[in-house]
Order: sequence, then structure tokens, then C-alpha cells
Amino acid sequence: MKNRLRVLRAERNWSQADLANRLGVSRQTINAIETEKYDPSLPLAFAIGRLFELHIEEIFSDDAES
Amino acid sequence: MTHTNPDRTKGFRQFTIGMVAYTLIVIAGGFLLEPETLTPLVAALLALLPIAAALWAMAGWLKAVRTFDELQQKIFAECGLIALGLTAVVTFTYGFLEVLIGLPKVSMFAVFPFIAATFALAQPFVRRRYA
Repeated sequence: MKNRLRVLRAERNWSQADLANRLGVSRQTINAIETEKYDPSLPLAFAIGRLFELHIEEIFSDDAES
Repeated sequence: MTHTNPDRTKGFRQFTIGMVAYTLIVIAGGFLLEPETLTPLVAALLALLPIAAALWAMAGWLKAVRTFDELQQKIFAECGLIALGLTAVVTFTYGFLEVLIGLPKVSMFAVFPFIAATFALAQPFVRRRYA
């Protein structure tokens, strides 16, 4: 699954550790999501959406769509 | 979750204390008890006594692991499955070879260290998949 997490984080000048703390996950998890090696669970995806005030589909896109 | 999560610290502390208690009970039992003076039933019950400490330790371990985030739990689960699979393959193969070509008997005590070692060895490989 593709995502814009790195771009959104960079726009806010947050480090991976900052974002990890805000979401209550490890920095490793943020890195794995950004590099698209791990797809977050639905609750975590919703938490990310709430944090950036965006809908999930504005952050994540299914590979099949592209 | 951060590494200073108090529940995680508490869980790992419980695990450590439980395992130390288990080890001490087993060592003390080995020194203090004379198996030949015990009936088989009493010997079996005494051998099972340290299990309470081990179960308490395991509960602590689970408490700590439940504080991990979803990716960390996934990595732990994958490492656990690899350890389980390798242990199954090695113990079954060795068991057959014991019967078929007379390899020396290996104590059941060897099984858990093998699981722990394969679990630890799997960690860098599994972590690398998500790095």
C-alpha cells in the first residue's frame, strides 16, 4: 500500500520519533510504514488520519488503484 | 510506545524475578533433596513446584509483550513461529535419527534453550524485513 506519510511529516517538520510519540508507536513502525514495508492496522491508520486531519484515503492508497 | 512504558518495565521485572525464582528453586531442590528417599508421587510434585514461578514469569513476559506496538508484536510473533518451526523440525528429525541410527539420547532440557536461541537468531532477519 502506498502512502504520503513521509511528505506529511516533513511538511510539519516532525522527525520519525516525533510522529511515533504522537501516535504511541515505535519509530521503527513509522519507518516501516513510510518505506511501505508494513501496512498499519485500521485503528492506527485512523489515528494517523486524525493526527493529520485527513481522511485515510488521502494518506493511503491501494496499490491496485495506481 | 516508548521504552519507558511502565507496564513494560513491570512485565519484564516480573519475568526476571520469576525466572530467578524458578532457577533458585530448581538448584535448591537439586542440593537439598535426595530423590531416592522420595516416593515417585512426592518427587513428581516437587519437580512441578517451580512451575508456579515459571508460569508467573511467563505472565510477566506476556504483559510486557502486550505493551509493544503492532509491528513489534508482529515481529515477535514471526520470530516465535520461526523458532517453533525450527524446533519441531530439529526435534522430530533428531528423534527419528535416535531410533534409526542410534544417535545419543538428548535431554528434554535442551529443547527450551534451542527455542530461545532460534528465537534470538531469527530477530535480526525478521527485523531486517521491516527496516
